[in-house]
Amino acid sequence: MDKGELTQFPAAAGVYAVYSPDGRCQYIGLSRKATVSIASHLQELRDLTHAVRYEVVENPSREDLTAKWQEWVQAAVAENGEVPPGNAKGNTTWAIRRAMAKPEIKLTPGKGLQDLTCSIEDLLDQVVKSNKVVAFVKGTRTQPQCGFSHKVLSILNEIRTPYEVVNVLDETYNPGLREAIKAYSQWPTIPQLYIDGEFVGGADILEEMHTNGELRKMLST
Amino acid sequence: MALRATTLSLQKVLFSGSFAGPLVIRGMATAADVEKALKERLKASEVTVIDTSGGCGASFDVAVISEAFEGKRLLERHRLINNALAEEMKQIHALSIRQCWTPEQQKKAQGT
Repeated sequence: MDKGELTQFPAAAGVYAVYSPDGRCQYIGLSRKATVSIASHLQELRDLTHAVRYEVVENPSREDLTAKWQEWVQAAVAENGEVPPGNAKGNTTWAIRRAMAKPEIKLTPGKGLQDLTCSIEDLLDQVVKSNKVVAFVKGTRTQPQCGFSHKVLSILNEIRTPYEVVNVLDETYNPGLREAIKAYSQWPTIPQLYIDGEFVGGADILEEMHTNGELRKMLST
Repeated sequence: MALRATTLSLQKVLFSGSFAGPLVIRGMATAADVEKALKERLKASEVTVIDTSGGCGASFDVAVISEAFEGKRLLERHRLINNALAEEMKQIHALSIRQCWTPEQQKKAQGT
């Protein structure tokens, strides 16, 4: 299986099973977006990710997804006499992606503004200029709190580029950042993406750049 | 009798003083407001505004055709739109710019 075949999978929620070249089911997972999860497995466990079977679950709640996942696991047990090795208790092989998720950058020690020796704007500038790719979003890498922030993070995950995240809603560690970032970029909305110290755009611009290949090209230079 | 007296006293306190002028209530921006602003400030030949507002407040998708975009990169075009809506953005929860083309780009797209 190669990355080109990922386009066959829907960007939808559902349950999937991963098979190794010998046809053995290695792992059964659930995902809100198939392409992201399977791309991650393909990236990190290429030798085991030979084929994937997927079933879409329309508009699922967490309970719906879990129920469908359990159904698939039970079917695998009935067929093979055991759970897929990747789902065995204590086996974290297929959870590598979660374990490797980077923490968000925090601009301050979390004691408010009064003890800072430089402004939040200076700290912001340092972060932008010292990291190749930085996304300022509402929420965290794994729990974005608005659709536009989710869109940007999904694009970056799909491209599989390393990037940093700063949560503008975290008033404990990033006090005043939500407004400071707007003044810094002269851009009125969040999320905002910076590459090589330059503001690239918000969700709509990134979506268009991703669609036409410009974003991937920019990140590869 | 005591309860009545208390009520009257509160009423008197609540209504003391006066308003300096008419009460102005700021509402949400409308699709018509957004369309008008873009047409006037960008000299846009075409503007399409779709109201996608939900529980969070005013929300719009916009598409704009204007000569003002000639020679400008995507980011600059978006900035032009944001600047044209600077006042309206104070009342807008979310804005998606779906298209920002020159008339020439539109012609090419329609011709394909």
